[in-house]
Amino acid sequence: MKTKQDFPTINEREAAGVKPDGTPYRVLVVDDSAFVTKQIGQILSSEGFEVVGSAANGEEGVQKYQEIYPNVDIVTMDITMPKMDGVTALEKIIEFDKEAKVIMVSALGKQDLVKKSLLIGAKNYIVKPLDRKKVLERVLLSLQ
Amino acid sequence: MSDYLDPANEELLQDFFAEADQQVEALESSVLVLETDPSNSDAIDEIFRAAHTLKGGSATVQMTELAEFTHLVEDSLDAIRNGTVVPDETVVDILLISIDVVKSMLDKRRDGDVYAGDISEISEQLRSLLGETSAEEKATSGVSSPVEPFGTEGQGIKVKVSFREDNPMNSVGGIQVYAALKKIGDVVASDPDFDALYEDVFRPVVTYTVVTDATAEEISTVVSLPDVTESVSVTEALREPPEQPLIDTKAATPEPVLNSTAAPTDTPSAASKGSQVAKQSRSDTRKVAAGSILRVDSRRIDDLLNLVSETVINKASLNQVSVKFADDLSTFQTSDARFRDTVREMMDVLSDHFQKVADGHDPKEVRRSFAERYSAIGSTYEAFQAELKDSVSRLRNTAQNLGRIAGELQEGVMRIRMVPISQIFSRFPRLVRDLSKSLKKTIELEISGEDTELDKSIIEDLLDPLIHCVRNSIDHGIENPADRIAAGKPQAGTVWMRARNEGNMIVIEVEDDGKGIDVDAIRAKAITKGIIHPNKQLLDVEAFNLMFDPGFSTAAEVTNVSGRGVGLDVVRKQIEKLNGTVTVWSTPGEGSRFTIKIPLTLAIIQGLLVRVGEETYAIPITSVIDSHRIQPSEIKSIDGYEVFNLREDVVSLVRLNRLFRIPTEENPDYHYVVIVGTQEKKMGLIVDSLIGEEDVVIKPLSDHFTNTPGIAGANITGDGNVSLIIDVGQLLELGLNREREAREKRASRELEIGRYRD
Repeated sequence: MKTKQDFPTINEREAAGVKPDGTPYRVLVVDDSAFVTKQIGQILSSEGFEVVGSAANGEEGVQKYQEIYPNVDIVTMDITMPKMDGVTALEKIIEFDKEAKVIMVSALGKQDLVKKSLLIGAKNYIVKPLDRKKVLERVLLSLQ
Repeated sequence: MSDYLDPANEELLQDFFAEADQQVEALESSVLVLETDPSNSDAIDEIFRAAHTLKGGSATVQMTELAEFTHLVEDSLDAIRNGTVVPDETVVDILLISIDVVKSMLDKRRDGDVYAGDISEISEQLRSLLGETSAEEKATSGVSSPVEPFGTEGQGIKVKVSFREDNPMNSVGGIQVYAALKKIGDVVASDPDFDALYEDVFRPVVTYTVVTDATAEEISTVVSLPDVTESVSVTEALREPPEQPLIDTKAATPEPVLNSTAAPTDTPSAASKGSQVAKQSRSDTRKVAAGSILRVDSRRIDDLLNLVSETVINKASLNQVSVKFADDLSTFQTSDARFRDTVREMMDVLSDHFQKVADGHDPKEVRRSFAERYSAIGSTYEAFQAELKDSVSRLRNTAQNLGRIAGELQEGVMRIRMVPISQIFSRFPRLVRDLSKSLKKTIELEISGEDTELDKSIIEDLLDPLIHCVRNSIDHGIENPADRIAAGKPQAGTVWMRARNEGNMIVIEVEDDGKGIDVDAIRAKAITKGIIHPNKQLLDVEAFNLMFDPGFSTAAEVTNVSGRGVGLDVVRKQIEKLNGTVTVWSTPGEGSRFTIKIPLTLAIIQGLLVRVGEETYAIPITSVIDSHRIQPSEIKSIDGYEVFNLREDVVSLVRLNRLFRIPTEENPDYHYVVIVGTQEKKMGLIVDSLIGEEDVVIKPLSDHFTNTPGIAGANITGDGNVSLIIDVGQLLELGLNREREAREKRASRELEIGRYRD
C-alpha cells in the first residue's frame, strides 16, 4: 500500500474525492453487476472518495441509503437491475431525501430511461463501459 | 495492485465470465418460462435485464462481437416487451439459438480466442423479428414529432444550446439541459418542443425559454456540461436576439473537448491492442483461472467468523483451566507435605503408644487418644479433592464446548463448498426441450428439491451421469405420443428430477412415466452378447443391473440421443468414483426410476475402523454391508480361493494381512469378516478385530503411494495415529479379475480335456 510517507510526492495534487474540509466524499454504489461495482469503487477510491456501501438491486439500494443517510454524499445507480430498477429506486431515494445526489449508470440504448431519471432528479449519468475520466468528471460535477 | 480497469486484467475477466455464465443461465431459464407462458412479464423483464447486463459487461471487457450481438438480441427482446412481437415457438427458437451463440462466443473468449462462426443467419432472423417493429415505431413517431415552437409568450430568457454529436448518448443532452434549467427557474418553452426532445433523436441545437432570476452567467454555468454541450448562448428574450454568444463555453472548457475528441480516434487502436494483450495473457493463465471461483453466501462466512471467535474464547477458558490445574497441583503439594509430616509424627509417637499399652494402659483408651489426635489425617486431601472436582468439571465443560465448536466449524467449512443442486438441474429444461423436439415426443420436466445442497466438487461430476439418465428416460423410457395414447396414458410424458437429503447422503432420482424396462429384452440381449448363460435364472433387479454393464444397450437402433452402448456403465463408473451408488427400478408399463445416492461431501466419510496386526484400516461405512465373527472351520475353499457361506450366498474372502503383507497370527480362534460391496457384488475382508465407527477425514496420499492398489487415502484417527482408508471398489475389481482369470483357465483346461477325448 502506497502512503504519502513512503513516497515523497513530486507533483503534489489534491485528491479530487476529498471535500474542502479534508474528509472524503462518501459514495453509495448500486449495481447488480459485482464487477461494475468493483470498477466504480476502484475509480472513485483512487481519487480519495470513500465507498461507504454497495447494493445489488434497487430495493437494497434504497434501504442502504436510508440506513446510512445522512452519511452519504452521492449515489451511483445502475438502471437495469433485478427486483427494483434504478429509476424506481431513484424516485424512492428522492422521495426520502430531496437533496439526494444520484448519478445514473447506464449502457447505451437506455436513452429514454436516462431522460426520465434526469427529469425525476438525477444529477447526471454515466455511460457504460465506464471511462475513468468521465466517471470522475461527472461525479465531481454533480457534487458541486 | 493490478488495474481492475484494464480489459485484459485476469481478475476482471474471471469476474466477468462468472457473471456472464449466470446471466446466460438466467436467460435460458427465463426464455423457457416464456415458451410455456408467453405473457409472463417477470420472465420477460428478467431476460431483458440479463441480456442488458451481459451487454454492458462484454463492452467493458472489450469483447465487441459479444456486445454487438447481445445488443441485437436486446433489441428484439425490447420488441417482445413492448408486446409488438409475440414470443411464439419460432421466436423462442431464435432466442435459444442466440443464447447458444452467446455461449460459444463466451467459450471462445475463455480460450483466449474470438468467435469466428457465422452469425449472419441468426442476426438476420433477429432483425426480421425487429423489422416489423421498427417500422411501426417509425410510423408512430412520425405522427408525434411535429416541430412547432410554442414559446409564444416571448417572456423570459432564451438559452440557445448546441450539443456535441460525438457524445455516446447524444440524444439525452436536450433533456439533461432541460432538467438542469428547471432547477433554477421555469422552462416555459423549447424549440424543438419537449416531446421532440424526449425522442431518441439527436438535436444539434435547442433553444429554451426560461423564466428565472439567475444571471446569464449563472445560467450558462448550469447548462454547460462537459462533453455534452458544445456552446451556450444566453439572450434576453424581450430584446431582438443579437445572436452573439455572451459566453462561449467552448473556450472556457477546452479540456473536456480535447479529451473527448481525442477519444474516438485512439480507442479503436487501444481496443485492438488491449484485446491482443488480453489474448496472450488469457491463454497463459487460463488454466489457473478455470473453475476457481466459488460464490459463497456472506452469511456463511459470518457464521464461521462467529465460530472462530468462540474458539478463541474457548481457548481462553482452556488457559484458565490449565492455570487452575497448576493451582490444584500446588494445593496437592501442600496437602501432601502436611500428610507426610503427620505420618512421620505418627511414626515417632507410635512407639510411645506401644509403650503405654505395654505399661498396662487400657489399649482402648490408648487407641481413642491416638485416634483423637490424628483424626484430621483423613481430611488432609479434602480441600484438594474439592478443587480438583471443580477443575475437572470445568475441563469437561470446555472440552464439550470445544467439541461442539469444532463440529460446527467443520460443518461450516463444508457448507462453504456447498452449492445448491439447482446449478445443474437448471440446465435440464433446455436439454429436455431440445431432446423431445428432436425425438418428436411431448415431454414435461418436473424438478423438485433443487435447493438441496452438495459439495461443489461433486456437483460438477454429477452433470454427465444425470444427463445420461435423463436422456435414457426420454429416449428409451417415454413412448411416442401415439403409443402413449394407445396405452391409455396422457399424450405428454413426464420426467421427474428430484433431489433430497437422506442422512449424510444426497439422493437424486430421475423418474419417467414411460414404458418401463423390458426385462425380457435385456435378458435376450445379455444372452446374445454372452454376458449371461442362457440357463441363468434372472431376477428383475439383476436384469436392471445388467444395463450398467459395459457394452450394453437395448435400443433397437442407434439414435443420436443414446444407444451407443456407452451410457449406463459410464454413469455407474462416475457415480462410484464419487463413493455413490446408482440403482434402477422399473414397473413395466408404468415407468422407470434411476436412483443415485452420493455422500454429501468427499472429504469426510463415516468409516469402520478395523485392526490388522499392528495396523488400523478404515473401511468406508457406505460400502460395508455387515460383519461376522466366524470360526476358521467356516472358511471353505473353492478352486484354491477362500470363500464363506453367507446365508444363501457364497462370498469370496480376502485376507487383508496377506494383501498388505502384514505379519499376524493366521489361526486365531475366531476371524472377523467384514462384508463389503453392493448387493450384487460382495466380498469378505478378514481382519483381526473391529474397532468401531469414526468420522474419517480423507487425506490424499502423496504421489509415491497413489498407485497402491486398494488404498484410497489416509486418515488421522482420534488418538493421533495414521490409518489407511480402503478403496472397496478397487478391491472388488481385484477380486473379480482374479475370478475371471481362474474361470478362463478352467475353461481352457476343459477345452483341452474335450480335445483329448476326441
